[in-house]
Amino acid sequence: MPRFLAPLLLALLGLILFGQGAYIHAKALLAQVLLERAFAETIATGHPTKPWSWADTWPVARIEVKRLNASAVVLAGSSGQALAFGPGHVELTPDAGERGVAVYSAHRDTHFRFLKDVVIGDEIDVTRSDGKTFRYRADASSVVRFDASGIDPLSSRYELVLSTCWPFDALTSGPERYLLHATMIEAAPHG
Amino acid sequence: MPADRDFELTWKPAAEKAPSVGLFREHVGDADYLLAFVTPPAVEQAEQKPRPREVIFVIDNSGSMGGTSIVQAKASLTYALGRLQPNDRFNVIRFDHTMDVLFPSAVPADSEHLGRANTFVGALQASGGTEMVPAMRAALTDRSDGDTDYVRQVVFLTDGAIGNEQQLFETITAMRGRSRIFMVGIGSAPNTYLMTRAAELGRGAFTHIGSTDQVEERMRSLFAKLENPAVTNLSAKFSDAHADATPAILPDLYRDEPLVLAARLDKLAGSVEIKGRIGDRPWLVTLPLANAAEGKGLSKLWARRKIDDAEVARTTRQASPEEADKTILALALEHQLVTRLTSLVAVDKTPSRPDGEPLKVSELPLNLPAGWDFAKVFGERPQLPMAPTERRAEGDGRMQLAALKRPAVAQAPDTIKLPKTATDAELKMIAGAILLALSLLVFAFIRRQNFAH
Repeated sequence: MPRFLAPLLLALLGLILFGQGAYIHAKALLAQVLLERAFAETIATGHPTKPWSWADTWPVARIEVKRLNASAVVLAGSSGQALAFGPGHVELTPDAGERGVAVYSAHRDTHFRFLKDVVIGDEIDVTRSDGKTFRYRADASSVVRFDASGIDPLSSRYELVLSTCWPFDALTSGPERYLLHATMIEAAPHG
Repeated sequence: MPADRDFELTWKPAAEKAPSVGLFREHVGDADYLLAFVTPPAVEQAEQKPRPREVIFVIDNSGSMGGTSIVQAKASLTYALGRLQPNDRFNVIRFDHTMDVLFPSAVPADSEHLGRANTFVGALQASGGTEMVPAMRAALTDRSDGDTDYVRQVVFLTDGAIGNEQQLFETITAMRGRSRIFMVGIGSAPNTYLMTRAAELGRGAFTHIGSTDQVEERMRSLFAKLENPAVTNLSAKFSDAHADATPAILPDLYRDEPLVLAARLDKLAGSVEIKGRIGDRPWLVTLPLANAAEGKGLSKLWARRKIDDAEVARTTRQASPEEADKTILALALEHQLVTRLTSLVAVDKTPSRPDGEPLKVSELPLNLPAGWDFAKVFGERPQLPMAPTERRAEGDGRMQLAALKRPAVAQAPDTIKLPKTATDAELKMIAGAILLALSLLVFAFIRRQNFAH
């Protein structure tokens, strides 16, 4: 029987690794369901609502690209802990709809997987926690190093940047980030 | 010396046996402003043995404390444990989204208990969510039942990354009793509003530790305070006048620390009574308002404090943002103060450029803060601004207070650092699948060999 031990161990190790990877995706998916609920409550009550009681963060906005049927609820802060559950609103950047560049960041393999399908001219809707929706149009994309983003959050225009890791299908993380730039086109209440 | 640095003015009150009180007044518009300045007595150490203390340490080991924050917090707590006296009592609570209380109730600070506490603290790791309210509730649960020989102090080490601030404030207000709450803010950007407000409600103080080098210095000065409460249970009462005083809850006074109470009065009549306890003796002083000395700028000081209160109320959602901004704007305009919503604009009435002389651009020498290097701060030379267009100053030339529509954004860096946005999920799944396939292959191989035999 010991000759079966080696393949069994190998199989077990494979299952564990596979499970860990699947867990990351499951967590990202499940969290978005809870976040949707918490965000709906936030808009209804006007108070930040935690998605689960021990959470370190709370939903602040929803990003939608209608053409791709993609949507994700954004969390306050962009710590690794928050990014496991949803895109993060990068610290020190203004809210969507305010003057300056609002920067949202998420994992390329979970919540911002749709980013590679966004083309110039696509419309991106951002709903804030106060219920207001702002529409942006994608007008450029770029690839930068994480510490040389060149983003001036205090610019005088109304802009949005969605950021994720580059290249999209790499398996390991690197220093490069893909940025999708968009400019506000309307602040009409809809949706 | 060029004007390129801050200066710090430090002073010590002359030693006196009882707290000394200064009273100043100012009449502005249709109101009177009062400033009471209470300096605690310099009690001689030998004469007044410090009362033994019961110190409850609470340490946040949630995920947001990860990295250097938890190192600073642990170093601070270890230092604090070392400062306890043998006749003090203490306990340690740690929390993330769960919570552990080290001892069932406060224990004497002997070497055995301290040893256990140090081991407990040393083993802490940052992970999990943040549930601050149950920890605060546990820290404020006072089991000593009227055994008031001990001064009860809660030392709370956290970065304050929570969303339900209001609930925490309510807990403190409901349960503070005789405990004093000292907030120690950890990390480069702790939630200052939460800390300041919690310390204010808990009649303690807020200490910020921004880097590991600061741990010892800041904790030493915090402990110098904790060990020497001079006047406790302070309260102020106006006999006749209707007063709008700030701060609303008077904190304890510590050695070399004055209490500054500012108030707006409808009339300058009657007296103010300031009550407290020095050590174990009650202390009371009554000051007739009529005796107050004439002062200047008191209305501004009062208004600035009320603006701070309004800002806190705005953050803690005791007032809606619009309401708070209205209060701030009204105070700022009435008292001519620069705030988040207002600025001062100077308009020169007497232009020095003769008519007909063209405008030209020139650089004015400006002092950089001491120790700064122009090239390092700004890179290459800055671009010259565009040539100014012809423009004449208008208006009456006095300082004007302008209400700006857009509040100034907090200081932000020139460029934004982007977080890491890739998981190893796929890598793990692929590696896992390969291993599974490999094991199947080996398995099949072994079986075939078995059949062959």
